[in-house]
Amino acid sequence: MGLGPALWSRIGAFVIIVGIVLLPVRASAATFPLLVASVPEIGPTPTVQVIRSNAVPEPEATRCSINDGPLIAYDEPANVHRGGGARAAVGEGSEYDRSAEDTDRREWRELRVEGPICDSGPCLLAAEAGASRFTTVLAEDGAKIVEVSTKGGARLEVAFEEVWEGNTLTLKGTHVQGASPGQVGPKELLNLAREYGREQGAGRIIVQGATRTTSSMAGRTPRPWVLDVGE
Amino acid sequence: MSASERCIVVLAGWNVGLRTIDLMKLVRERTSLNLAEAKAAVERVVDGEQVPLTFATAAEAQRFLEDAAELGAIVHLGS
Repeated sequence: MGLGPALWSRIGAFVIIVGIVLLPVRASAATFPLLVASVPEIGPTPTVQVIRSNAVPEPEATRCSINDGPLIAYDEPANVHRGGGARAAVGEGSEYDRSAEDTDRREWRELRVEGPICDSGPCLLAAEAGASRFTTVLAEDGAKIVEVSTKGGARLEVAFEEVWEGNTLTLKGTHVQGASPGQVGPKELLNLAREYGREQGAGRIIVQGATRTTSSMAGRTPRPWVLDVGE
Repeated sequence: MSASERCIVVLAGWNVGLRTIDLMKLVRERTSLNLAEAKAAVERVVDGEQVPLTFATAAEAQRFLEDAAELGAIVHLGS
């Protein structure tokens, strides 16, 4: 039994309508993988769990070395080394002196933390473990060079002359060396100064900084810090 | 220039990046100055003065000159 022309025309119309309706859907289906590839928020759901092979070593746990991390931020603009010229060169140009950087990196390599000093994981800050963070390296005729461990695990050397007036300890001509720019912030330096004053039995500590010779502050003498040590 | 003239090294200035504490240690170690005097000498240099340092031999003076320059000091042999 043959189908009538009316039925054929209805079937044709249905196919055309379905085709028109499905066209945008097909277009979306073609576009969707591109969205998945370019928008991380709607990335594909992982259906296969990737298991780390035994041949791949475990990521190293928290290291107790100041060589970790800080050097990454070492070459910030504030740390431009300029060669050739003394004080007259301050503020001029921005020629980068790689030899100075190499020297600093060599110095950092030599400054390895010997004990369990770092800011996370199983390591303890020396001060938290009950030990002093200050180790006198040299002391002679009123001038001192003190080695300090920071919370970030860096070691600083601080040189100054101590002057006592009553219970006020003044650190005159204070030089700090050993950290890359930004590694030790002013807040930590203030805390270190307070801590040193406390160790020395001072009620107040005044830190008079020496003329800076590094970073964008080179050639400037910082204002003194006056700190109540407290208990 | 005689041998005796070569035994003086002048700390004449500094470059940005000068490591002052290392320079103090170097001056203290290689000269007859104590730490306070070495610190004062370095600070005078940073403040713009020229500081002459005397060494026993020309070789010592030369070695100091090279090491101080590496730390960021501007140095030359004096007379």
